[in-house]
Amino acid sequence: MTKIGTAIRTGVCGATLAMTMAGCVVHDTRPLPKINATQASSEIPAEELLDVAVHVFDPGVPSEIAKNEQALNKKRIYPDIRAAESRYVATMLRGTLENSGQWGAVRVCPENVQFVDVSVSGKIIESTGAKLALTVTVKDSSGRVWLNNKQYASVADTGSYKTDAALRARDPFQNVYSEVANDMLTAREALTAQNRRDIRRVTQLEFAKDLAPQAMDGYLSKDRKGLFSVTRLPATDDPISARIDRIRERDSGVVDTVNGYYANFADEMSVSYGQWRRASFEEIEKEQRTLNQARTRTYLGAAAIAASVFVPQQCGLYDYNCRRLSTGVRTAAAIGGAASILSGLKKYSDSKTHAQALKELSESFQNEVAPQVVDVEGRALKLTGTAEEQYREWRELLHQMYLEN
Amino acid sequence: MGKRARIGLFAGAMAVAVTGRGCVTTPPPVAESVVAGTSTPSAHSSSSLTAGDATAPDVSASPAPPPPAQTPPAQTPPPRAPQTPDERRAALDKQLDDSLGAFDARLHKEQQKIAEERDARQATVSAATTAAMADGGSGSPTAAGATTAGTATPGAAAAGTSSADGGGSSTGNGADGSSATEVPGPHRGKRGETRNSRAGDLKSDKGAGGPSSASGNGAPATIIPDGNDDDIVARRLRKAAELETDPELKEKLWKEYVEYKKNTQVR
Repeated sequence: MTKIGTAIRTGVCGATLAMTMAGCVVHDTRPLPKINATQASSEIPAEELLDVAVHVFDPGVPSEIAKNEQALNKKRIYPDIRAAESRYVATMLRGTLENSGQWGAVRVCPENVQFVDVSVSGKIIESTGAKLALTVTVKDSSGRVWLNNKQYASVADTGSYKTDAALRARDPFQNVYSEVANDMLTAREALTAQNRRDIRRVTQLEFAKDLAPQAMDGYLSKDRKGLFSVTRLPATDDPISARIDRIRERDSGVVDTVNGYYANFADEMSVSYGQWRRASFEEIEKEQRTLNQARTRTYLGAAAIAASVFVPQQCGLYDYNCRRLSTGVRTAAAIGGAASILSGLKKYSDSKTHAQALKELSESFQNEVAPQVVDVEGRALKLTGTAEEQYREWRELLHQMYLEN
Repeated sequence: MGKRARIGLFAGAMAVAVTGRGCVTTPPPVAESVVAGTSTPSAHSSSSLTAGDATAPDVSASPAPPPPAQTPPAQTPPPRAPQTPDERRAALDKQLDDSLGAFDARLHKEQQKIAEERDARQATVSAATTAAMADGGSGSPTAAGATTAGTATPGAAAAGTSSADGGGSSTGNGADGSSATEVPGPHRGKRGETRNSRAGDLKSDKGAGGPSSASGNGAPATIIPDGNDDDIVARRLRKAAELETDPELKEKLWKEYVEYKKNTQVR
């Protein structure tokens, strides 16, 4: 009987080991601790208040698989959703930065908007309802790099998925945006007040130089590191500068308007996007859980069958009771193992169902959001195109004025 | 007004009409401008044609001549090109001002459009929220009621006391769902007093008569106790019974509700 006990104990240990290897632990889905962007505690002097342009993010669709739908599905990349997310994420980051009260005007704008004190660009590495991973680069107008392709990632805060109201109140990935905002703040705090004032002047002069290259030449210089600095300032009553300032106000108006397009777009998609994220989270979680169960059952089944075959006979030659019992245990283990493997296979099939469900959900959401992306991008391009055309005319006028002067 | 006065007024009016100075807003006579050689596009009315203008035959021959072509070159003095640097600068400034003004107008229009879109969407969202709340009043509880109906043993329901009031919000449609699950029949009157202006009550009020008046929806017209003193379990049972569409199950739920009420009253 001791030998039978040993055999059973061995089997139990094997099963436990198999379960551990199969990863029975389901993902922890408790609400995350909330990270908030540091709020400004005192008023920042106007001449040190830096404007921020958050550029539309790179959707992060790998070019090598951009046309391979199967590969994209496998990586849970849906190009139209990513296109929408590239604007949505930028808008969320803008909101976080703006609400912190640490910055001047914070705007979402296309890549071609250049003359801003601080520009933020980024790339989406992964974005599902369960996880968001981004890389973010932040630079100022003098060319100083604040954050260089820094990666931010977080799993979803399940608290936000509980109710629609919770979803509206806090983005499931707000922690990511808050972390970016806090890192930007740290980088800004590392600069002196003079640095910040210089950044504003450099932006102003860069814009001026772009509009009136001849008139505004020689005000900026570039050092060996590639950083711009102000060498001299235009006279306070310089007429060309005054006109450029007036044009710059219009440029800010254009950026504001484009930002309005993106804000409306993000607002419009937020409800259905939130629902898609929640559904995506649930399907991914179910798929993951089912896959874990499938693995566990398959491994356990295989272990049980292997044990039934390979565990050596430990009964005495004439110990018929022991032999009978042992044979019974082996047969039961083999049958149980086979059943477990079959069950595991069924679970694998179930996991595919969840993957398919996610795919269908995503396709449906893609169909909804794709026209909105086209619309917002069309409007933004139209306005920036018109503005570009206008700037060309103004450049010409400024050039003529310069010649007259 | 006397007859003489009327005659006087009439005579005065005639005199004004004859002298042609009655209407202050009338533009100066066309013939004058043509003669003066300051013909404007508006001056090219029939009078210019009758004046025997040299360009008249061409104007009538062309179907839609551009306004400048109608103006005889000899009649308009060429705009004087700015000669001095100051004049040139002023002209450039004016051009820039005009251009900035036009651009401002365009931007303003776009920004107005954005604001309108935002307002329209907010209105839609608030309307949808209201509608969801209205639906929540009768929709979500169906699901909640159905699940309750299946598992509504007093003990189980009692164990779920905390979820009966707030738990619904986590499984239903958020805040909307929570309010939806909190509208048990007998208490509607009380709640209705506090929130009778909400659209959500309209649907839920359809069944506000409770089972006693629900003879048409399969409820037995027998002694259903008044639900004013229902505890949480009774409320759940009552709601499940109200919302159940299967007549047999509905009857069973009502029975269960009645029995539960009896038991609690005995205690």
